[in-house]
This record gives sequence, C-alpha cells and structure tokens, in this order.
Amino acid sequence: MELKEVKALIDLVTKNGLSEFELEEGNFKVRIKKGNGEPILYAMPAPAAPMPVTVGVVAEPVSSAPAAGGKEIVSPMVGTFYRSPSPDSPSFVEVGQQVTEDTVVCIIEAMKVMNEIKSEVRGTITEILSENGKAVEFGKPLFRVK
Amino acid sequence: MTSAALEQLFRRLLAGPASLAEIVDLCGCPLHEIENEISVLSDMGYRFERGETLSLVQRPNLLVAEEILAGARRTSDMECPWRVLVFRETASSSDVVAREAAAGAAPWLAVFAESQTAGRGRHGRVWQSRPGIGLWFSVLLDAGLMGDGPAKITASVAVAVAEAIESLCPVHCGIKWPNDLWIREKKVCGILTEATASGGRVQSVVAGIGVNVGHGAEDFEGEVNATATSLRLECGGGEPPRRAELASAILTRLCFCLAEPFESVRQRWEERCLTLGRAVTIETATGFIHGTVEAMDEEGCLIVRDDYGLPRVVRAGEVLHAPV
Repeated sequence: MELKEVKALIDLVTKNGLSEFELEEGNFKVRIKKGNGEPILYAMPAPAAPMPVTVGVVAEPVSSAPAAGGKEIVSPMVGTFYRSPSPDSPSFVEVGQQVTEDTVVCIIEAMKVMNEIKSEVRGTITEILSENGKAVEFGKPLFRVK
Repeated sequence: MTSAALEQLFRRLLAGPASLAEIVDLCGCPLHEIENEISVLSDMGYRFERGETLSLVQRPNLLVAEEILAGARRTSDMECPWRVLVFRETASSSDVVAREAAAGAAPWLAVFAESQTAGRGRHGRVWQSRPGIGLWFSVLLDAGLMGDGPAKITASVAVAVAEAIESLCPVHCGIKWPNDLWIREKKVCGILTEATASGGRVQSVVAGIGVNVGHGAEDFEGEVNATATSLRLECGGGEPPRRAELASAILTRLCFCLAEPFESVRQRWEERCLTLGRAVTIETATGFIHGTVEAMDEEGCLIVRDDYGLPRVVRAGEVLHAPV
C-alpha cells in the first residue's frame, strides 16, 4: 500500500467520524484508531502464523457497526472465542436463531476470565464470523445480526 | 437476634471472654435473646464456658455467615464491605451469585456452599465439592475492576487466596499460571472467573473459588487423585485450618489485593508463579506450544521460547508442566 492510499484512508475515516478502522489485504494490515480527536495509525505486516496478540481490554469498543445486511456483534476484548460454555454443550446461538439484547452469544476467555458476551442487539443471527476456539482481537466481528 | 447482633456476638467472643453485660450492650438486644442464641449455637456444636465471663472455647466445622464476617472484620483495619450467604447445598455457588448479580445485587457478595452438586471448572469440567471438607464459594466483584484488564482480577484473587492460606497453615502455595494454586506439584485450589459483558461494558464479575481443605487421599475420586491435594495432606500432620477461619482470611486478603495497584499484585503473582522457567506444553487457541517459559510480561502474559527458538506471547491457554 502506498503512502497516498494510507492518507486517503485517514481522510475517509476522519470525514466519516469513525473512531476505528481496520483493513487486511494479503499480508498487509492497517489499523487506524482515533485518539484525542486525531487519527493514530498503526500499520504492520500481518504475521505469517497467527499468534496471540497482546492488547489490553479497551473499555468502549465500537459496537455493532453497520455492515452489509445487518449489524455486527464485535469482540470487546482480546481473547479466545468460544461458541459454547463447554466442549460438550450446544452452542449459545446458531444461524437463524432469534436473539434479544440479553442473549448470551459466546464466551471470550482472557487470563482465565470467561467473559459471557451478550448480543446487545435484537434480531436474527445471519452469520457467524469467527471460528470456535480461535484468538480474536478487540473489535473483531463475531456475529452478524439482522 | 438479628444477623448484625449475632455478628457482634461472634466478633466480641473471637477477641476473648466478655461479661454478659458487655455483650448485651454490644449486641443491643435483651439478655434472654442472647441466652437463646447461645443455646442455638451450642446445639450447632459451638462450646461456651461460663464463669464471671462468657468465652467461646470450641467451634464446629461449619460455615456460619456471621462468624465468617466477624472473623473477616476482626482481622482487618480496612473497611470490609462483604455480605455473606451460606447454603447447605446448591448446584454451583457461581450460579447463585450470577443470578443475584442479574437481579441487581451490589458487588462484595460472597456465597458459600457446604456442598455443590454441579461445581465446575474451566470449560465445564467437574469440580468435586463434597460437604464439610472444602471451601466452595463465589464472590461478586466490582465490575469496574475489569477496567484494568482481566489479569488484575485473576492475579489478585490467586494471590489473596495463597496469602490467606499461608497465614493459617505452614505450607507454600505456588501458582500454576494463571491461577491454579499448587502445593508441591499438586493442585490445592482452583479459581474460575466468569464475567458478563454487553456492548463492551462489563456488567458483572464472579470469581468461583474452591479450596481443598480437609481431604484425605481417599476423598479425591477418579483421575484427580493423582493431581489434587488438600491442606490436610500438606500441613505436615497438623490440623488444617478451620474452614470458617480460612474463609474470613480470604475475604480480608481479597479486599487488600483488589485495592492494590496491579503492578504490586503482579509482582507477588510472578514470585509465586511456578510456571516460570519450566518446560511446558501450552494448549492455546491456535494450537500447542512446546517450549520453556522465560518470563511474565507487565500485562501478566507468559513469554515462551518455543522449541524452534521463537518467542511467543501467551495470553490464554491450558499449561502443562513437564515433570521436573
């Protein structure tokens, strides 16, 4: 990616009032995050093999950003994504299932704290966007709800 | 007699003998109510001696909420904000606390169960919780504590329980990362923290704690027999601590550790961490890592040098220590 494309991205993010933006293309990854009103840019090559990433829990993530055909439930923290409370039990939610704000949709584990994540939005699960047992980062889309 | 008055009675008698007149005054209730309470407590197994003063000379192996609270408040200069409930039996003390939290309960609620029919560990594993020999309880913590990251809670609870155990029992508690308490390579305490979050806001944090206290070797069923131990088995032939006293000590230490800055707790966590320097296999979300643990970083993650010589940062996973 060229510098002028990065600049264009920053302009786009600023103009649309987004607080955070992430793009992954091949082995290049860019994340723009706004702090103190100014965009801050982190750019890094995506690691060849996925590794647990060390980013702290952020108090206020961008939740349910409008996306193609519905809202997204995103991860509020870095951790491991689990679709069920234990390996032998059924998943919290499946595609096609109705959810309300209080429906628990998954668990994200970090430092042996099991965080039950609630849907926060009402609707029907149309897509599951993360794989069970995989590491997720802050802001990673987990489910699409329509 | 009210619960608050009973707690006063315990608090006074735990400090030493007292005259009935003083007790009447402290508890704020008439003498006949106090006599009645003493008779109820005697039926439960408490033993009193009477002369010019009343003394509490023996206490049963029971969990009584007022005694636990009195013990916690007696040993602490800090304000002790706990509320304590004791159940004879429940499915899981963490479920009770989670229900209370959902119904709007304030933090600093501790729920003890003499026995649990469905005590659980990570990923729904069974936690054996037979009556009378262990301390099975869950605490509702201030959700705001998660603002410092999950490691703060994980470290504080593990360190608090280890320090409380050592204050009452001549053992050394190490920590298998992140929060299993081990004595001499066997597990004596497990801790499972469950939080709920909605829209990025943490709504409740419940830490479930199980301490094996009075188990003999025959009390561990199945495969945990090889990996579990108890304070009785480790305290060198002496009596293990009374469960109610251990409960008080843990509640007191929890207040201290959770109020400390993360870095100060993290250092004590690191000092106790048996996993540092060990050859390990770690089951992480992205596969197994085989290597040697080199350090703990300032966030509490493990830095592992894997068998290919690459440094790996581990935030979550099941650690298996290679035998020493």
